[in-house]
Amino acid sequence: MPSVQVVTLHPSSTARRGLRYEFTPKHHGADSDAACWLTELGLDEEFAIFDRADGIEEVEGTDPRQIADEAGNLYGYELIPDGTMRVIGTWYQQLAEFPVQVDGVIWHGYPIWPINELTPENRRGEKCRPTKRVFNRLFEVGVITRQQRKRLGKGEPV
Amino acid sequence: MSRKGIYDALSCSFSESEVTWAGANPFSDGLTFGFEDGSLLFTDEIAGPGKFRQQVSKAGESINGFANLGVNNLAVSTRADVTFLDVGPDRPTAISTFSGGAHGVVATRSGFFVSALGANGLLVVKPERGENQLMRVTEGGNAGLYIYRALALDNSEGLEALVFATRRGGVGVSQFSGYEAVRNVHTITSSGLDIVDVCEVQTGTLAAAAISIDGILLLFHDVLNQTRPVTIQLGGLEGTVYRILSSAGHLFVLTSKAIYVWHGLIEGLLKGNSTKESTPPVVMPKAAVEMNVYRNQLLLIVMAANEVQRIEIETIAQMALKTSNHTERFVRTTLKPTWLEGDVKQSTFLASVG
Repeated sequence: MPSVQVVTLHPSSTARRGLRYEFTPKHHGADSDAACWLTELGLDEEFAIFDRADGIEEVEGTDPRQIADEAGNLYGYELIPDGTMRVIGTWYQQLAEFPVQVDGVIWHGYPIWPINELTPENRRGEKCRPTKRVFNRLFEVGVITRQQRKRLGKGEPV
Repeated sequence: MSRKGIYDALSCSFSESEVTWAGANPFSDGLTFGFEDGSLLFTDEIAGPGKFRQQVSKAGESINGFANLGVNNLAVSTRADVTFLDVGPDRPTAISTFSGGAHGVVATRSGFFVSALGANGLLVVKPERGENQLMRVTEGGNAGLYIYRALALDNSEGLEALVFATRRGGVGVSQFSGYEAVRNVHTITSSGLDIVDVCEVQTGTLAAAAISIDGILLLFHDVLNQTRPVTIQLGGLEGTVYRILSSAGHLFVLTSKAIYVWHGLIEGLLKGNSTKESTPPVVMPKAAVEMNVYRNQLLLIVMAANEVQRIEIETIAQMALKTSNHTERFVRTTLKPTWLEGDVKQSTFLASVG
C-alpha cells in the first residue's frame, strides 16, 4: 500500500525560487521498481529536502547554496548531527534527485543512489546517477567533507 | 618502534587524479592503484614508479573495486560500469563493459567474477577470450535484497560460497557453483542490524566476518554449515564503519574517523576464546576511504587526501600488544540477538554480451 495514494501538492513553495512540489504515489510505494522515499520520512521533511536543494534566498554576494547538476536537476539531502547524511530512501539512498522542470511545472523527486541503475536500452548514454559536479558542489558549500566526497564518488555511503 | 613510528609509515601521493583504490598488482610484486577518473596504475615494485597507467572505465568514474583471475583476466568496477579486460602478451587487450554501476568486484576460485550491484542484484561473469563476455545478473528477488558487498570463499574440499553484506537484510550466504539459474541466498539478521561489509578471516576455509555500520562484529566459523554467528559489540568505535578486514588473525576496522586494529582477536574467536582474551585495539586516527591488505604483509590505506599509506601489519600487531588504550572504553560485549533468518530465491538472466 503506497503511503501516498494520489498525487498531492505541498502547500508551500521553495524559499528561493518559489517552486511548487508534489508527492507522487510512484515514489511512495506504488511501484516496486521505482526508488521510494522511506515511510519514516514525513512529507514535510521531504519538501524540506527539496527546499534545501533549491538553495537559500539570495542575498547579493552570498552563495545561494543551490545543489544542481549541469542540466539543472536539483539534489537534496538531510544532515544528521554526527555529520553524516540521513538515509532517506528504501535502498539506503542518502541523496534525492529532483529532475529539472520547465517554468510553471510542478516539481517532484525521489531518492537516488550514487551508483547507476541497470540502464535500459532506450536510455543508454543517460546518466542515471548524480554527476561528479553534484558531489563537488556539496563539498564546496561545506555539506560534505573531502572524505565523504570521495566515498560518494565511489558509490559508497557516508 | 615508537608509537610515532606508525604514523611515519610510507605513503605515496599522486598529482594527476585522486586515488580511490589500492591493492596488489596481479602481474608482479607491486601495487595497483585505481583513480577517480577511472584509470588504473600498476607499479612493478612496492610503491615504485608507475609504468602502466590505463584508462579503464568508459564512464570515467572512480574505481571502487578490482579483481583478477591470473594475469589474463581483470575486472574493474565503478558506480557506473564494470569493465572486463582480457589481457594477453601476444594480442591486443580485449575490453568488455557492463553498463550498470557496482559496489565492487571479486574473483572466485572457480574462475568467475562476481560484482555487487546493490538493488539490482549480482553480476556473474566467467571471462572468455576476446571482447564478447556473457554477463549474467541475478536479481534481488521479492525480498528486495540490497547487495552492497560480495565476498568469495572456498575451502579445501572444493566448496565455494558467496557472502554478502546486504545492509538491513543482514548477511546473505549462497553456495556457489557458477551459473545457477536460481540462486538461494540464506539471510540472517536481527532488528536494527545494518551490515556494511564482509571479509575472509582464514584462507582456505568458509569462515567469514561481517560488521554493522555501528560496530557489531559477526563471526561465522563456516558460512554454509553454521548460521548463528558469534556476535560482539565492539565498544569505543568513533565514526561510521566503512570496512572490515582480517589478516594473520588480527581484526582491522576502518571508520570515518580512524582505523582500529585488534591483535589476534579473530584468531582467538576462531579458537573459541572468550571475547575478553584480547588486548584493546590500536587506534590510528585517519580520514581514509578504503583499506586493503597486500599479501598479508601490508595494510594499504587510501586516504581522503590524495595518497595511499602503507603500514606493515606486523608493526601494527606489535603496537597492539603494547597499547595502553583504556580497556573500559573498548569493552567488547557478546550479544545474543534474536536472529531473523530467511531464504531469498534469485533468478538469473542474461543481461548483456559486452
